[in-house]
Amino acid sequence: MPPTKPSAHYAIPPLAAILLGAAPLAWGQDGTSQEASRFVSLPVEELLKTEVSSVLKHSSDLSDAPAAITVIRHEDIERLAATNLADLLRVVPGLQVAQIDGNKWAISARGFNGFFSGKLLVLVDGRSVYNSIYSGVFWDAQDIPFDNIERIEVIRGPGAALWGSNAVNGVINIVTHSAQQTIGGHVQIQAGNLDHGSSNVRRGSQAEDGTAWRVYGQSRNRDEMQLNSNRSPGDTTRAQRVGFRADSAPGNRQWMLSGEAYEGQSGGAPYPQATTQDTRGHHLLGRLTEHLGSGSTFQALAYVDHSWRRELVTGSVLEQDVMNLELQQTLDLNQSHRMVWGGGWRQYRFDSQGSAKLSFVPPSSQRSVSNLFVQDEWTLVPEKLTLVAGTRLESDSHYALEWQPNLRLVWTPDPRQSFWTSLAQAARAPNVYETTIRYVDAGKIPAPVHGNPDFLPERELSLEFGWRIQVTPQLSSDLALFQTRYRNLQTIQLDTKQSVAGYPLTYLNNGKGLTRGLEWALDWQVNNSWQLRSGLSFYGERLDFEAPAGAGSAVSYQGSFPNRQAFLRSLWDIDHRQRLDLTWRAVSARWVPGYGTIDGRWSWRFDNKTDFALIGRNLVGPLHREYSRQPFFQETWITREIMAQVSWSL
Amino acid sequence: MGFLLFPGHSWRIPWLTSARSRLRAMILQAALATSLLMAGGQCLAAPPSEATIKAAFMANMVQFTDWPDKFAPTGKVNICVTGRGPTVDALLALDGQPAYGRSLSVSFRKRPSEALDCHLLFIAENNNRPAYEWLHELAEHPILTVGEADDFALSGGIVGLFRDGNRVTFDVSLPAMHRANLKISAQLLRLARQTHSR
Repeated sequence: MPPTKPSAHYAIPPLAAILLGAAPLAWGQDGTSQEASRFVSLPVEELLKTEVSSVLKHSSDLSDAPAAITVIRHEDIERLAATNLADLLRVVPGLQVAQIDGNKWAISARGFNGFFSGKLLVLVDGRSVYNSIYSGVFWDAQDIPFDNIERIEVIRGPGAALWGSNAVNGVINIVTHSAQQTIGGHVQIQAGNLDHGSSNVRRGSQAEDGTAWRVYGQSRNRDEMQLNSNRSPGDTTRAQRVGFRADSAPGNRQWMLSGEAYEGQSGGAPYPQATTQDTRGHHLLGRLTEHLGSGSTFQALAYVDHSWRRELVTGSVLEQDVMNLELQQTLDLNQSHRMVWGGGWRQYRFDSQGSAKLSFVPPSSQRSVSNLFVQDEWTLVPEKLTLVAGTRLESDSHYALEWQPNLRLVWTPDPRQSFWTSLAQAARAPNVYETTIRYVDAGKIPAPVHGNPDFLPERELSLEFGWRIQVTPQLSSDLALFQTRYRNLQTIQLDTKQSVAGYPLTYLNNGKGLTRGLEWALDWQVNNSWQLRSGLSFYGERLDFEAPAGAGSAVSYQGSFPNRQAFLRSLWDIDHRQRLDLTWRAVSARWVPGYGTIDGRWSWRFDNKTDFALIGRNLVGPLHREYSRQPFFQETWITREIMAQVSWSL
Repeated sequence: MGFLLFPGHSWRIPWLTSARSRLRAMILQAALATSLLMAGGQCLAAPPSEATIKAAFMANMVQFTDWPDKFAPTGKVNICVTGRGPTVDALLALDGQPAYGRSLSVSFRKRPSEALDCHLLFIAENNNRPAYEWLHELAEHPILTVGEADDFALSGGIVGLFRDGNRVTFDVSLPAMHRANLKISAQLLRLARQTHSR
């Protein structure tokens, strides 16, 4: 996939002036130049025994990527008190992770959060797990074992030029370890008050020529949360997954093959009856990378993905099949131009079985999307000023050609800081439900909802600005500001054109708006064994109708995204065996009251092969809900959780 | 401790309102503060930076490495760096320094094609090109490739430098070393954290 430059950062607004003034030392001026010569004459054994000062890990990764990027690395994942994949994303400034119930989440960046809001593209090793039916992600089907994950890159803002339609407010790219990194056996089991026994097993091996493979299996069994009534919440989760990955040895030609199959039962709270969704799916993915010399690299990615979901009570079934092929080449045109270009084709096939409540007309459909993209990285002033210009052209079997250009500039006045700015346009393609749904629920909505086959893509134009600075070797800061203008936003309105008695509600493109915000992260390595990380984000929106709309109309997801979010993490290495990691996080009120709580993780390494951890989530504060106003699900109250986890490397 | 960050409030954070949850919050914050004090009380003498030790180690490695006769360094050892970061700065600061009977010449290279005369090449993670590009183009050249990325020695690099706790250590990839026609003495290999033989 297009190369992204990883970095992990935080930021300081008005304090910046004071701190910069008071800290005249740029990094690297910690006496390095004088000391290194002193150490050169030490014998090697002595060098390896010398204690070194603490510095922010990955401080040297302070890269000049012209985008708001946060990378959650493997070391971070190990230290997060997370019991689900979505929990890992809570420590990204600007991302809202709202847990709906035991197996459903609404995750978005920079506004419009909803289970189906669809402005966030999610990829796993380059494979899109974004569902074309609802423009969202069914997180219960993305239950990747944590110790397979190498890193998670989160890019806030429009990534459409490189990643395509639907990367409107951001892209989440989950990258798994190469098979060479997971050699050997690994077993992990966990249990707690909510987790009634989950386990995962993995075995990896490497051949003489360097080719490696791994196979793994995971089983999940989680209990229900709570409801504010006598009724049983019913949001239990059971899931099983098996998978494999194989990688060739590093070389001029590298290939990767991965596949997975899963099945599960995700319970849901009464709405009005408790229901379970049966889920099943599998995928097969292959990737080929060729290094052609002189900096030129060619990559091909192909996958097939099948997902199936049935709601037990109503009997409605949704099925999606995706086939994807994409090619990409990176090359150096000359000394100052580095280009990436490529194209791809993706086909979605959708099938459904309706029920009295939910159906699609027509029940099956097919959609093909082709795209071409190009991006040039132009070094205007070596090491100091770089301009990135790119565009993507997408063609859909139903809709007109879409241009999604972007322009980015990054200025690095000195090695410890960089300023970047970006102007980008992106579009979100209509999905299956907006165009073909038929939904009736007399108790919850005033009129039936009919999809609008003439629904147009939503569009946005986004201006961003960012500043990254390594204030001292122990303190780094990352600030991003954005303003995004939207057109053709989805609105839900009474459709006066229909001549059915009791006008149905439908989706129109009658919304427009402006959103603004700030995302700031600050990392501080206090001393050798203690690190603090914080994140703060602000958001504001002004959404409106283009043309006057009648009573009962709404711009979808208006008011869904919180104005303020913050977190503070403390990572303490108690000694060489124990670690204590605490995270405080808080979200301001939006549709549900604001909440704040603390998660914690204490881990103890018995020896090189055995690890024990005690994880607690939502440890303080009253029970809270994180989301509400879902049309299809009943949200539950997020329960306090304690879990013990043991893992062995064999 | 959380509310200290937001003195102006307006969070309407409900968890602060009930006495019982306030007590719980205070206990957790006390734990946080205690951990803060205990960890902060550690000695603040100024040890050398990780970058310094890594740079000194690389300068040192030269005497434990054998290059094929035609390429062996004579009076001058060419250490090349690419990318950005404190380790790059630390290495560049060693330019001109005498070490073990030779003098170090440290310079910056932008492209693999420009690095053919290097004896040792340090590839920083923060780089315009990913490490694999350097490694694949230079794989069969007698250049000692050193990096800091986690999987450097697994992706074709010869020596990967790490921070392990409070110390610097390294991994070596023997196949990469053989491909480059280099020989690192057993004395140094013994000190490695891991030696990959595949």
